[in-house]
Amino acid sequence: MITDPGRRYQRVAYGYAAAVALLMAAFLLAIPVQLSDSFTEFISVHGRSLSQVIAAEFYNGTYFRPFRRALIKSVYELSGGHYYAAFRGFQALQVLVLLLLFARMLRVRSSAALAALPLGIAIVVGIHTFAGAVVEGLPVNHFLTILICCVAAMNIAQAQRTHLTDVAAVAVLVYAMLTIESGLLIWVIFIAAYAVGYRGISRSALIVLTVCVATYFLGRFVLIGGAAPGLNERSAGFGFSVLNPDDLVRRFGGNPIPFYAYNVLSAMSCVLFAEPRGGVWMFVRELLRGRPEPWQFVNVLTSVATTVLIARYAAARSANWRARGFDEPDRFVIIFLAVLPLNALFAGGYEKDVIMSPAGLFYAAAAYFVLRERLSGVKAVSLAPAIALLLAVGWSVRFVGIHDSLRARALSVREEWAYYDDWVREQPRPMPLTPEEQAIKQHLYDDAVLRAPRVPQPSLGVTERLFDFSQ
Amino acid sequence: MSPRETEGTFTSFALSGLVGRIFVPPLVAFLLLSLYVVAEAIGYRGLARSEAETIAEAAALGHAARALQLIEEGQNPNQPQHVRANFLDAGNYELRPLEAAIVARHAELVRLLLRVGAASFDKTRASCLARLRLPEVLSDLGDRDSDSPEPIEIAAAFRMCGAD
Repeated sequence: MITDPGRRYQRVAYGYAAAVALLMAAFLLAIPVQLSDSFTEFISVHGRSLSQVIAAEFYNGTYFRPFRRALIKSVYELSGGHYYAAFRGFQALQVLVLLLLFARMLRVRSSAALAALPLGIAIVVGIHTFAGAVVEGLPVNHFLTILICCVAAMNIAQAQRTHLTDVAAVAVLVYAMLTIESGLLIWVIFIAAYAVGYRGISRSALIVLTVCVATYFLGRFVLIGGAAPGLNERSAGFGFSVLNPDDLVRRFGGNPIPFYAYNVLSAMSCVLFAEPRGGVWMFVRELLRGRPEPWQFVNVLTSVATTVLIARYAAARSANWRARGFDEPDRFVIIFLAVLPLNALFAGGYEKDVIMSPAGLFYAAAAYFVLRERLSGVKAVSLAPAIALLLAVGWSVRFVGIHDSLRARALSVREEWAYYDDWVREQPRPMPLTPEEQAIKQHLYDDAVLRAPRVPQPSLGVTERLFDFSQ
Repeated sequence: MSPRETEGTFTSFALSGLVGRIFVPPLVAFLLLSLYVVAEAIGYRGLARSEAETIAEAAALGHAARALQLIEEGQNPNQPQHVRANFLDAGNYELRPLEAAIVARHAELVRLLLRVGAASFDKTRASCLARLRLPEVLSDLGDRDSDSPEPIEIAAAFRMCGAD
């Protein structure tokens, strides 16, 4: 029997987080393993040992992600040929772990903290930067993996310091930064957490973490001789449209700095105001054309209102911060403010919403704490009831919208497989398959086209226009 | 927990209605979605789009995977099949899958159906429909290309090309 009321609230928070994860799992499990960015990954790891898979990624030119395919390889081997169940099940499990760790990091110990939780989780799941972490399979979504590392890092930073927390901190950082570049943000999180008073890890561990980051850059750019991605790598949003690599080279080949600066600023704006999206000012463009979509109003208005709330809180508390007086909400707002610009640096080459998913996660946490403070009766910021309702309804619509996107994804992945022959023809290089690879392809094709569960597409009339169909 | 946080003030704010405004909408959204998933699991389809029951209906919707699934289940892609109202327009039709894909203007699906065996069709009628609705597939149907006029209405196309 639980007698401590604080623990009781935390248990309810875990229960709610798990329930939201299970709900999302119901939608994720309706999506077959996708063809693009997944089937080729299977071919890449098939018939090679784990060490070979990792070694091959050490010398991959502009990208340095040796552990990314290692996780894919691990799930692939554990699947026993049940690819669909294994990979979608793993993604559902990742969402569960993410939300449980998120709920743990919020330290829900009061009724006010619990009352703000559904909205906090709605922001985490409903924010547009999160969509790419669940809508895409990849087949193990490394952005989702990094989000788990982010909340794991926060939980370690908040813990009682032991040798184990120091070791765990180093392990999380090394794993994250060798999975994808934005994993380096784990270092930022530990440093920022320490600066605002969390003492879950020691000063010595912080030094080791810093040495790890220095070693990463030394290893990647000096020893291995890797390079940053160039302008000719892929298309990127700029202004009101998307420029292809040739256009990018033509416009910014001589001096790419303005383009990189544009991307960094756009990435920050994307988290704060839900605009631009992927570097394209879609809402402004449609507003100028006189035909903005209702979902664009929902996204932009809720994000702007939430950002204003956080900004007003930061302004009201800045005097305390200068005196180094931090309580829990202050810490999370400051960590968000530290993560946001540094996360945006990773979007310098091209702005993609999901790159900003760590900043989006801390944005949700910061918003949660500001709302929780308000519900606790602290008047650091005022909040008109109408604005509170607007925020809650807006984020709730976005929370439902991501599930609508997942349902649409179930259909589009099936369609993608139906046109497998066309997809092969469109590949830049011929794709001859060995008999074993052909068998894998046939298995995935049958899962997606012939054996896929019949998932009805919802028909919600005009309500559907409130959901962001672009994610 | 924030040191400034107390249960007493929470109660007073709860009375002011702020808690309800923040707490209720996301909880309702979660509950409605959960209800939807449970209802769907036990067969409720009240909020679902109509699903194709024939290859021709799948072709009308442009749902290639469903069309292939129905072929695998034994439906004949060369037979005229029923297409219910609101799949193409307000009318009910008896169409071959290939014709449904042409009339609904799904060029990729036309080519896919031809590849998987929907090769036995009334060429004159299919070409006529393609000329009026989807000229870009005329060459796939073994006809010469023509200029691409604006597609005419579905019902008008059937009147001009003849209905089954």
